[in-house]
Amino acid sequence: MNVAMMDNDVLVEIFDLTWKRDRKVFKKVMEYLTLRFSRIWISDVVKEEFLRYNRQKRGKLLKRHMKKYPILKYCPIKVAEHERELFIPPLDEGEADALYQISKLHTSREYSYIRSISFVSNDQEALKHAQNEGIQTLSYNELRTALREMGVIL
Amino acid sequence: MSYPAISHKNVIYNHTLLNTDMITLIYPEGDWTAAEVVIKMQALAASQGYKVYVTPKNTRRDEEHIKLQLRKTVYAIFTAIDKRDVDENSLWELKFLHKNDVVIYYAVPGGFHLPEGLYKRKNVFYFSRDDPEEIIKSLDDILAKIKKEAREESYKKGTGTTESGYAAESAAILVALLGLLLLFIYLIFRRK
Repeated sequence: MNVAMMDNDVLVEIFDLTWKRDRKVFKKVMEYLTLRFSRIWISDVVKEEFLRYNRQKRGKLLKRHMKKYPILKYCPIKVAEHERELFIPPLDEGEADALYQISKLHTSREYSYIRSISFVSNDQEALKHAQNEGIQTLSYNELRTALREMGVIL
Repeated sequence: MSYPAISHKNVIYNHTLLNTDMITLIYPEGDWTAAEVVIKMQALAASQGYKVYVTPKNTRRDEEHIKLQLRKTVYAIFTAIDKRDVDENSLWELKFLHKNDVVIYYAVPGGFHLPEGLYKRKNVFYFSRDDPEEIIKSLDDILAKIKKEAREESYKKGTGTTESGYAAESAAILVALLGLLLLFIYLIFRRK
């Protein structure tokens, strides 16, 4: 199983802004993500960050997307606040949560069925930090470039 | 401050991936249908941990970077769906691969103008827009042929060695990709 751990900036860009801008483009993006990943995980803190702006509207939107695309799931791994704080600074809370969850997954036997997990973000510092930790990354720019080849402009 | 260590198993897995050879997918510039098919194939291959490179046509091209990727290529698949000719950039890539003795497979519509001297007839698969069922009919023969060739090549290199193991793995991925490509084309034509 191949999993993508989403950061808040990518979540906002794809699941809110792109959805509002052009539904056809959003569909193409989801087609691509569905082929590339078996699961897209959203960590608890990233979800909170996503809902911080216009909680009611975005909450409904996220629920709708999760119903339509079963690959979208909340991350089953939980991280305590004091564990998360190890990564802050330089990272913000959402990024720290996502990265710590990936690190925790690597050490857990329970999730040995997951073959690879990629951290998807638009934050250069967070991506660099993840790479230093030995975590696979996919930058938003890489994602955009791949989609642009198909004629999908994000 | 202590961070949890990354498991040994994961490190070994990534190491294995780094040693796998690459398969390159090429399509003509401006052929948006082929671009979509190829990018989706790359996404599917990436989901299985295989390295598939798509030469950029519609985004910024860095020829040095492309050369670097093409040097790692063991097999290449050229496909066109809407176009009838090879464009300048694709021709440059095909010539580069040909110079490096890379086996290039072509899956193109009937009447496509193939570049002179850059193809072997046995590696060209034509498909017709009028009869998409034909693609599925010929799919089995093509895949069986490639599998047989890959097995023979693996034998020549000597079985049991790491090198032949990688060659066999690359050939298996190639078979899967070609099958996938023809299936995509079949679905597109059936829809049209």
